[in-house]
Amino acid sequence: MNHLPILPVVLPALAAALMLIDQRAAVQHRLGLLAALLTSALAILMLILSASDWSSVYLLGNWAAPWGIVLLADRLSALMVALCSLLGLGAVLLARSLSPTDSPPHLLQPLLQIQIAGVNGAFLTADLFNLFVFFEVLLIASYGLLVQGDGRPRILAGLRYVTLNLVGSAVFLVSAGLIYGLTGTLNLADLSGRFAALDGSTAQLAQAALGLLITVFMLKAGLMPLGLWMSRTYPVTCLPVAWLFVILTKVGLIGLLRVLTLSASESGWIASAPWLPLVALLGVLTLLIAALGMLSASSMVEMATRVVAGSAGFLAVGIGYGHEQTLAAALAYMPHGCLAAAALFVLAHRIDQGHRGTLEAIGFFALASAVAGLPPWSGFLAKAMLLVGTLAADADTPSHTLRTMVWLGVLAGSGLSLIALMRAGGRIFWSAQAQARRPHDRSAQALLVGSLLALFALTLAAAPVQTFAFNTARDLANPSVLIERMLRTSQRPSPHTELPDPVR
Amino acid sequence: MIELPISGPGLMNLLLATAVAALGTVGLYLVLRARTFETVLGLTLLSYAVNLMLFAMGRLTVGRPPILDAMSDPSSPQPAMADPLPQALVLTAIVIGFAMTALLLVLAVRAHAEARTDAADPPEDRA
Repeated sequence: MNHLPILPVVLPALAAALMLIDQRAAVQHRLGLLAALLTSALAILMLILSASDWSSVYLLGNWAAPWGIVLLADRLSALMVALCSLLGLGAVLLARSLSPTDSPPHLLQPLLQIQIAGVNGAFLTADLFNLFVFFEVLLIASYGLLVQGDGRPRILAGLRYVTLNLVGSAVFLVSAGLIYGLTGTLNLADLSGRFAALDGSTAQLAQAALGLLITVFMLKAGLMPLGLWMSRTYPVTCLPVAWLFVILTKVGLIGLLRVLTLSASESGWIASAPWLPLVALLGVLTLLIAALGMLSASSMVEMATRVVAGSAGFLAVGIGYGHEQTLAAALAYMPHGCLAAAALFVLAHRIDQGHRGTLEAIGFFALASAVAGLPPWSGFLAKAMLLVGTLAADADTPSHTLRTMVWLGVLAGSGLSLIALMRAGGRIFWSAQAQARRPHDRSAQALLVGSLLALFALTLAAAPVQTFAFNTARDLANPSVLIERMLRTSQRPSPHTELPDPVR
Repeated sequence: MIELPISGPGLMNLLLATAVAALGTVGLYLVLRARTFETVLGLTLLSYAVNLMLFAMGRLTVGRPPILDAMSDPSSPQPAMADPLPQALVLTAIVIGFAMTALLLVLAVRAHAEARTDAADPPEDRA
């Protein structure tokens, strides 16, 4: 139990290393499946524990907080690790049925595991530089995954994606360096007090550093002026990779949320972040442009890509509005957004391959209504929570202009995407039947059905999901408890070794 | 009127800052060029600039080990030790940067083979 927070990172990394020893496809697949199942089980255990007020601070190498690196397993990281691990499990299943011509199979499985390890680590860490390292781990895996299966479009997309992310990493390092130079710490909990203690020009420089950091996170999250890379990257990847990449944009947003909540001053995270309204505005912009992109999409895969961008925009609005209730709305949207987008990718690949059966038609109807945020689905509830939340936040937050823009953006975005999906549905299912170009893929079908059922279950379990989201938002909006906890966790005494006396 | 420090530790700070600025500017310019090789060179220079900056964030110290020892004089105006953390950060950043540059070079070569051009952003649909 003590080591629970580190296991979702260590297990996939270990599996990836083992896969390189024995590279037979069947062995790799079994190992991958075993690792993904174990990781998912542990992540779900963590999620269940965290729902009943459990949280854990894990000292890496047994070094106490401001000096060592700590992992923080609270509600937010438990939720995200569970989502990532479950999506990882799906990707492993999908990777098996990929035809051998589509991919050299001995690299796909290990890279998927490394990707899962990196994303889980990025969700768990509470140290700025460690966050950078996990970002690089997940990015280097994603570089490999993106070009899986080769072919001109993937290589060219990979070239652009890698270049862009290398520039992003340079900016991340500049910002982390500035923050360390100004405050002398990289631990997010320790930063909170030290940020508040800065004044004058150093405080302004610290805000600039924070702005650079937020820029990088927005680049990773695919928020609009920086998110143009997405529409040329996601559509060219093979299915398991596209499925897992759904979680990638969330890493940027959770990084943003972590840094803003933990490193902001004790006086509450809202006051200390002049960048928040900007994040919300860019979220609105992303929502609108993603919806327009859906209208102009020429294939279902492109449309699914825009759906991922749009859900990142919605999450950014919830985070950027800077109120507990809007944050809760974003968190309640998170599982729905991830699952619906991932399922849409499966459906899109099937439709683009010419499968247009009953399953596809039912799936399309369900997913289109879920993505556009129509009533029975939990996405609708989350959107309603956000709009109501902006009203509740009226007293102590941004201006009426921002609220108007959020309302317009969310409603117009939903409406436009509904129109786009209706048009696409008519074009796909009411036109002359296309011939399936590829044989049926059992695991893709199974995953489509599975994620539809999961979406349905999320809708039925609206009350627990909402409670969880509200509790998480409350934790994040009052970070002092977690900060205290992280700084107070002391080293475990080791039964085996005595510390030597200092040398005189 | 800005007074230039022409001697002492201030001069070293100025020199280092100038180097970071020059490397960063040249790197950014090259990244924005249209050919892959220049982009890779630009990214390399950019990461040099970032690494130098990270290193300087621990403050410049002369002749101090990165460990607190009994010999250091607490009353001296010089810091008693060099900050070891930025050194560790720079080491990590260098390793990651190297690996990424190698990967980007491989991709650039592959893209050249696929697209028959070394443009960093070749047209999508030309055969």
